[in-house]
Amino acid sequence: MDPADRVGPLELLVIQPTPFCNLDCSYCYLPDRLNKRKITLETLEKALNWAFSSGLVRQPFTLLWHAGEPMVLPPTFYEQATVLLERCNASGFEVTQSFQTNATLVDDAWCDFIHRRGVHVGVSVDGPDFLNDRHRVTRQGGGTLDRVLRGMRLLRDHNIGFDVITVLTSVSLDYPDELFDFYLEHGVTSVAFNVEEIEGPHVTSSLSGSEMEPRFRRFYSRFMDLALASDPPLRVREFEFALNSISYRQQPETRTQECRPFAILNVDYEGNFSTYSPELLGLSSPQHGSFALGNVARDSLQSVLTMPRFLALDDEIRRGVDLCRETCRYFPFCGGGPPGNKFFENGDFATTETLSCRLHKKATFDVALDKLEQLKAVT
Amino acid sequence: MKASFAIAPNFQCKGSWKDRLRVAEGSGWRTPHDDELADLTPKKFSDDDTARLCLFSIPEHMRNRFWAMLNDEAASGTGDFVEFSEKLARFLTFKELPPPKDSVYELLIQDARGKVETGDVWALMNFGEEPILIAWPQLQLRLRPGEGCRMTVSLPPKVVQPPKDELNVLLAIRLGPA
Repeated sequence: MDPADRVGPLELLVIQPTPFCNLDCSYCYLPDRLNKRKITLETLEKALNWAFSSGLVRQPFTLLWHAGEPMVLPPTFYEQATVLLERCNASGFEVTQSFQTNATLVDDAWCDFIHRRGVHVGVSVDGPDFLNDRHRVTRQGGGTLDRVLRGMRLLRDHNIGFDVITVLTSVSLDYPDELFDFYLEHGVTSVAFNVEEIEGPHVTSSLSGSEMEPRFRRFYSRFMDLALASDPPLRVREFEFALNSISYRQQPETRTQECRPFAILNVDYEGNFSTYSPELLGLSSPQHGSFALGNVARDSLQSVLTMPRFLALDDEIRRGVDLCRETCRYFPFCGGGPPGNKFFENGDFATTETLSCRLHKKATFDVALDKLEQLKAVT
Repeated sequence: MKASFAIAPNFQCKGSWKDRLRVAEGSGWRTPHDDELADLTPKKFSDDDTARLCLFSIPEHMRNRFWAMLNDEAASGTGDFVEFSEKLARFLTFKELPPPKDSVYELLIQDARGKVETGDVWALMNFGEEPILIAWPQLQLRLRPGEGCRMTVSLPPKVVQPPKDELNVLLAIRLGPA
């Protein structure tokens, strides 16, 4: 099938307002997080027009501010951005704006903006201080949890719900009860676990090694026992994902935005854009060149779709998905491993299993099945 | 045998040993000097790690469950101590500090005149709201709320009685019948 027939629908627009981050987390995949340059409203408008005039946008559509700490820019910038968004979204698609933030810069002005504009907030925090401050540190190496908790408290005080993303490292796997206590203590009702991945400049993971998989399964099983037994149950993204897949409420092709060309559009602060895994933005390889496929100021979707560099990339990613389909029994649940992980771990998109597959997909799926079996046995 | 202390692997306990330990001096107690502290909390242990006293912590959700169980028992006689004990054992086992086979779980409420039998105690846990003092000759350990200590049979401690009008709330895991 011609790539032009397979593009989109576009469900997620990731915009990098700045590559800069005020923290210096040890596992971060962003290559340029000391760079303090910011996206201009002019570039933003071009990006929004590019997306909405592509004909690919489909509801539910999310605009995610990420790939740097979004709150480095002030709320007034996002007020102007929201006005632009409304203007560029001529067809009136329902758009959810989302911030993935470390929450250290949250203040009353931010809360006012978030509340008024109905923005979704995801807070990155890794649990109690002995876990969070091990990796999520300042440039001087200091801990950050106090500031994160202050931000989370402000959000709660303003009745702003938020999700939490926690990155699991090998140390975290010994502390499911402590993580559970942490979420309860700080009013977290929905949590997502990411695993420490090998991506971009972060070339090793504490979760590599064959001994990690049984440890991860043990951790996740214990955590799910606690989460499911709590009242109300603590929502865990990976568990809900597995349930949706098992019940086929969500079809495989909709689970793999990262494998489909232009299901995700990633735009950096200069207007350069990429698709597939957001982690590819700003990176390149000797074989593929830059993963940026163009610039919103110059390059149309049609011009990209006929570009040899895109066609080669798409072909390699598609072959990787085909290999997953042929060789992995989890494919009907997963729909294909994230291309970014394949590239960074295996050096090639046309490959299959990664650390992310083993832990984040297969193990969580197996544990979800176990829990369902146990619930079935009880009832 | 001399007492030596460590935080059990896979646990985190807040505070320092200097805050926890007291050594006898005259008729009173004092903070251990650095050399004494180094002796009491050696960095290296022999393979026979049952010789050391291991401090651990009970998660908040489990402490809440404990009090909910007691409230259920007080209100309607439905508190299930056995079920709670099983959950506690599962937690400790996950943490690779598994209670011995056939061990016995006992809830202990100690008043200012009470005495706790410790000869067969594998671990003591403070489920109360106030610190509890565990004592050996010339040595005291302050067990904060939510902390536990895995004992060693060769060094049975004394649980110091609480002040008048206060109660120590402990859970003991005792070695089962041989």
